[in-house]
Parts: sequence; structure tokens; C-alpha cells
Amino acid sequence: MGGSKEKQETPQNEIPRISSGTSYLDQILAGGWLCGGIYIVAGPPGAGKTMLGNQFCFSAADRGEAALYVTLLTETHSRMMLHLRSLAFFRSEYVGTRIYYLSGSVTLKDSGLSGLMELLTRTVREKRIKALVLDGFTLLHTYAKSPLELREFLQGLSVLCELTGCTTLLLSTEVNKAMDVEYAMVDGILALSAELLGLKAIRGLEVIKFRGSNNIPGKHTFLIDERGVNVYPRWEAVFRATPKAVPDSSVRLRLGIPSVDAMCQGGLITHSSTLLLGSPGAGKTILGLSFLAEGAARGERGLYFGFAESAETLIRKMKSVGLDLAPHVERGLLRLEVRAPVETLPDAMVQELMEHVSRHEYKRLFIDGLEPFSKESIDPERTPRFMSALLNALRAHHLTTLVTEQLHTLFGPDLRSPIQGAEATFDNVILLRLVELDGRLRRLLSILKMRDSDNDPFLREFVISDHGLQVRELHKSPKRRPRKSRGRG
Amino acid sequence: MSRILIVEDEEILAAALEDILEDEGHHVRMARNGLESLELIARERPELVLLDLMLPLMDGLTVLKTLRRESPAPAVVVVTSCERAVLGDVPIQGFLRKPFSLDALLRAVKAALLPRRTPSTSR
Repeated sequence: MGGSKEKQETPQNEIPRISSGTSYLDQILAGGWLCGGIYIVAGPPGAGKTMLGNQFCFSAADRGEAALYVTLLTETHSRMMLHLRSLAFFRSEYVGTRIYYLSGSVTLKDSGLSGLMELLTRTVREKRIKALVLDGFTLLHTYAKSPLELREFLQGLSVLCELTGCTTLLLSTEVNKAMDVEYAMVDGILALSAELLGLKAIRGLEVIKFRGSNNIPGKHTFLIDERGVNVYPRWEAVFRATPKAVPDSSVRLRLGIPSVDAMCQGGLITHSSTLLLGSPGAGKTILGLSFLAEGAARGERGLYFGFAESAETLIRKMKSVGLDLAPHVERGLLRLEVRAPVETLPDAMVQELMEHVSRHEYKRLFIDGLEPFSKESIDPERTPRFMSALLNALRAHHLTTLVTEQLHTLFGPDLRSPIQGAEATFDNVILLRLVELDGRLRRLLSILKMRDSDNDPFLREFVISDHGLQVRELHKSPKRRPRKSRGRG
Repeated sequence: MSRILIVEDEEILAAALEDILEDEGHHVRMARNGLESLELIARERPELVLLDLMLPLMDGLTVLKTLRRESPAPAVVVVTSCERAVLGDVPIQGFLRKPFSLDALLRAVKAALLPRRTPSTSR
């Protein structure tokens, strides 16, 4: 999954593809633009059209093909170069050798659409152009004497592209209306947008039309950074498979805290997903890292993917509660990955995580913080579907996963999950919370849900000391023995 | 002052260069593509050509190579987004990488209009 660029053999009856220059957009388009097609990329100024157009050209140049970028009434080429030079895909040696930047504005002014068509035809044929970008397509409406002339221009361009195998992007500031001439004539339309979510702008991309191929419909988010335009398909639309790896209740992975393992019948079922729901400071991170440390002690690779504290801080803090992570990190059995939780895109975050998981053979995963994956999304209703797809994908990688979610209640009886619907997607839910009892705050641990397990139904008090997390009994409960499990001790 | 030909397909940049050089007292003409530039050079005999490389109809490098077969050839300052290496060893009297400053432009024009001894291939 993700952004792999596997070469696939093209069946004889299929039109070959040309990469858009951004791997996940290729995934959305089921392999890229159709070779020789004409596509409109529409969006307001600053939406990322020019960058997307340039990425397309540089991607073609990377393959040794020639590209042509024609501006009609946009920023000057020198300004464009200035903005592009710092980007990862930019290669200055391609400019003028494989990628040609021309202005068509004078030609359009002096000779109209027919003159522009002549310019394009001549250059595409002479330079053997395979990727063409026409930046400022909206202007053609102004210069076209009638809808018929615009239609004839597009027909001419279509024939040129078909004969030369040149794929064309028309960059437009206007999202087409179904009645517009070009709507019917081009092979596809992509709409770029930007929406405000609170104070944050979220960039969106939608495939309005894509002729002759499947695509991933609906809206996807994208980022613009030093790599250029990076589109992230909606994860639940990408990962729809039911994983073959199903939780096996006879194989359990210990959390590394004997009393908690006993409450779970010996540990967490392999390939299962567990939500650690809890108040701030309740001990969620300690429990999660104990789970990873326990695996590392058994030679199982584990990944911590968190957002709050640096790796150094985590190692120091865990050492103060009797959990020495450093040797596991040094041996490469525990990897601590920390990301800033600012203005995240859930789909980007999940792609990053999945790329990470795909590269290494982890057995245990601890995601310390669900909010960056679920909040800041355009549509909060996505969360349950998004989480199901994420957890299924992790299961498909044979991972046993722990995820923390913070309750915003410091202490008290209110147990509403802040992320509506997320808890239902997990196999197991463990609750850690603070309660006021006998004039002091106490930590309580309870298992709300544990699929295929006869788990401990009692609330239990636990303490965190320099010996780690230890559970005491709050209510009298029958003594439980850990169920013998296969091969995991 | 001197006769200068600007060969540039970007209208806005060409107009700005024209204004600057006319303010300096030069007589300026403009060509929008490579073919037109050769016609104007043959007719107007400019002393200096400010030449873009990525041009419609005929690219700047083809124009440059054609000019080098002419005698006497005008001085040429290449004004481009391309790297210097694109020119190979074709001799020129100046090279300006876009974007450039006004001072850099005026310095390049002044240097190119000095009585030429040997063709420069330096940046």
C-alpha cells in the first residue's frame, strides 16, 4: 500500500500511464494520468496548481522525457524558478535541456487561440514533448471568440496529444461547471481547494472526472512542503481489505506488568488492538512502554509512535519508574519515533506510520496519542471508518497495537471518549483514571472490553513508584491465574 | 548610446527591460521569438542582443549559433533561467541567470558594450 511505485505490466488493451510526479496522487488516479490525455487542474490562486504542474514536468524529465511549461498570464518564469529552486524535485540542469518554459501570452494576444495552437504544435513536435502544462487556461475563455473556438482549440490539442503521446495539464483558476465546453472535452478534472478548520487551512483535492479509469473518488487532503505537493488519499478509501491475520486468543503478548497481565488472562491477544483510555498523568505511557519493553526483552521489535515528549525525555522518565529502555533502543529492538502534534493531517500521519511499519518487522506498536490521527480532520464523522481501516492495516502487518486516548476529565465519573466512535473500533479498551477517594487522588485501572477473553471485571487501584506500575485490589475479587499461553511465557 | 535588441518571450519582463535600457539612453527593439530576432538583427544591426534561451519557434541557443557564423556579430548577453552549462563552449559576452538585479543587468550591458578583444566564456 502507500506510495510504492511498483512497475506494472500494461495489458495490451490498456492505455499506458504517466506519473503525476506525486506517488499518492498516482495511487488516487489508479496509476497516474493516462498517456496522451488532457486534464484540467482547477483551483484558486495559491492552491498548488503551478507546483503540481512543475512536479509533473520534472517527473517526466527524471525519466528522460521532454516537458513543456507554457505560461499565459501568471508569474514570470524567473519568479517561478525562484520559488521552485528550494524544492526537492527541482533539478536546475533540466531547465532548458529537458524542460522548456515558454510564455504564450504575446502569441495569444497577437494571434489568438489558433496562434497558440500553432506554437504548441510546433514545440511539441520539435522537442518531442511528452508532458505539457498550460498555465493560465482560464484566459482562453477571454480570447476565444465563441464557445466553438474553444471547442476547436481543445479538439486540436486532443489530436496533437493523441498523435504525439503528449499528456497535458491545463491549469485553471475556475472549477468547471458541468455545462462548460471543456468539461465534456477533457479526459479528467481535478479540483484543488483550501478550507478553514478553525484557524487551520486544510488543502483538499477532488477527482471530479477521470475518463477511462478507476480512481479513488471523494476528497483527499494534501500538503505543500519542501517536497512539493504531497497528496494523501483518504486512508479508509485506500485500505478496505479485511486482514488475513486475525487475533489468535491462544497466543498472548504480555504487557510486562504481572498484575495487569493477570487481569487480561495472560496478556493481549496477538494481532489485537487495545485502546488505553485515561486522564492526563494516569499512567498510559508507562503501560504502553512496558508493553514494548517486555517485547524487546523477548527479542520482539517494537515501535513507539508518539507526539508529546522527545525520545531522550521518555528514556529518562521511564528510568525513574524502573523501566530501562536504553538497552532495548541500543540493541535496535525498540524504536522511539516522536512527531510534533501541530497541524497534523491524519491521512499524512497514517501514511508515514505505514511506511515506517512496512520498512521494519515490528511485532508490537504503541501509538501514544490518538488525537493527531483523528482530530484536525475535515469530517469528524470519518473517525470510526478511518480508525477501522488503520487498525486493519496494522493487523495486516501482524502487529499487536496499543493506542492511548486522553480523557479531558482530570478526575471524576465522566467517561465520555473525546473522539466519538473511536473506542468501538478497538478489540480491547483499558481505562486508567484518577478518582478522589478518602481525601486523596487514587489511580484506578479497569478493563472495559477485551474481545474473546474472560477478563477481570473489577476496578483496581494501582500505584506508580520507582518500581514501576503496580496494581492493588480496591474491591475484593477472586484471585486469577494467568491462563497458560502458547510459546509466549 | 547603443542599439540593443531584447529577445524575450515573457512580455512583462521584456517591457521592464525595455524601460530600464531606454532610461539609460539606449535605443531598444524587441523580438518575441528566435526567428523574429534573426530578422531584426539582420535589419537593425544591434550592437548588443539580450537573449533568452527558451523561446518559441527557434530557441536561443540556435539563434546564438547562427549569430556566431555572422560577421560582424553583435555582442550577446544571455538572460535565462537555464544553467550556464547549456551553452557549452559557445562564446558570449555576458550571462545573467534569472532572476537578476537591476545592477547586475546594467553591469552586464556595460561590460558587453566595451570594445571587444576576445570573446568571454566566463560567468
